[in-house]
Amino acid sequence: MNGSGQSLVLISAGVGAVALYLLLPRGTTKGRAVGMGLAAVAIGLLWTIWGQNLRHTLGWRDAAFYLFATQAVLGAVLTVTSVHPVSSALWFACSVIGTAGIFFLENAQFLAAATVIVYAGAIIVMFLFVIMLAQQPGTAGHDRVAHQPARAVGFSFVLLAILVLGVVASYGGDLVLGTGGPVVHAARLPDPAQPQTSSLGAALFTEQWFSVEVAGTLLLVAMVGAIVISSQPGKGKDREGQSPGGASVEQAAAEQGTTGV
Amino acid sequence: MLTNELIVAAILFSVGAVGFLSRRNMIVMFLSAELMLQGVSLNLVAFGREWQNWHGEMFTIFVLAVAAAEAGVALALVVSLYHQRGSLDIGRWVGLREAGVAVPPDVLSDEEEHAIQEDEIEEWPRLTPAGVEPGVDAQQPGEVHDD
Repeated sequence: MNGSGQSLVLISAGVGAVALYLLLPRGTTKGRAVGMGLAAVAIGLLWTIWGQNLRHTLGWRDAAFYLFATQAVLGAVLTVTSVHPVSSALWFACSVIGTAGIFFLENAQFLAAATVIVYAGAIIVMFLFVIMLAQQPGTAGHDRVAHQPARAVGFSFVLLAILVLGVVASYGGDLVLGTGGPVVHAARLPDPAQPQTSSLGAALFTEQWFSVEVAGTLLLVAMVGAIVISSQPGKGKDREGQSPGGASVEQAAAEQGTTGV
Repeated sequence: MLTNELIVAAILFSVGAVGFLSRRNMIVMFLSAELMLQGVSLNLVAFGREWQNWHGEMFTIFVLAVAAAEAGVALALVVSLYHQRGSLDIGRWVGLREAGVAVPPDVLSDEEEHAIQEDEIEEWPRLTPAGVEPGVDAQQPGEVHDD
């Protein structure tokens, strides 16, 4: 990794950070057009960095990767910068589909399907239900003004720069993985002739059967917990007989916190 | 390919961190947390492929399971918090900070929130209520009623 590559990473992360700051809701629409332009520039720089890391000429796989990865990144940026929570949820689904495309290119077909079904299907539908339950008409003030966007973007820029510089320094360029690294267990090599999903399932239910049981237990416990939490309003109504107002107990607790008792 | 995927994963994680730190709507905050999980999953799958074993993908399946459980519990919590404060604003819960810590300067009071809402009226599209029988004799405001 040479110096010019490092400065390219820093410049593109900086341009992306400024674009993200301009696009975040700040109570004004000033600078949004500039932010979109800078985001386009950042995406172009990102493509340049990806192109530098390719060890061969651009094939259809790489073109598909560019497409899906750009979709994932753009969807993520729009999730974070959308004013309406509904748009946020739908852009998140778009980003998840991009990620699933990358999984598919990585020959992880089961994970691609599972990600689309679980994230873009179930979780997004749940989010939309909650938004419909809780959203008032119009956009609320707290959706239009972000909380300290400059600090958040600055923190995240430093994080991204460190991560990408580290990744490019360790795995970029001509370094070939698998030489002198940890021992690769021959028994776990995915056989290209075998269907990927069935051998993944075989590995999952032989090596990791205990973890599967634990994950199932976790899902059961989470379901019970969600039912208990969401049935609290009914209990609040019972409590109204003793104390005026359902929320007053929590209110009193919060006020105790503010006065330092 | 590995490097590029790790870069995409780092970008997803950082953008999710920006959203979690700066957005005030609790639902958008949880969406940002899910974005960060997506970045981590991408990392795991890319490394699993590079080392030619199943561990990355198996770990990602467990990440999916935990994310689903987390979303269920978190959304139940969001609904319960919304019922207590009447708003999805995380700034409403600033009273939960430790004793002696000052309020962050840009937490909006009720009046400021109201002022912002009045500032720029932006409405959801209104749907005509379905299943309501239209009044036969109701006079429309702009319509000339001929007797």
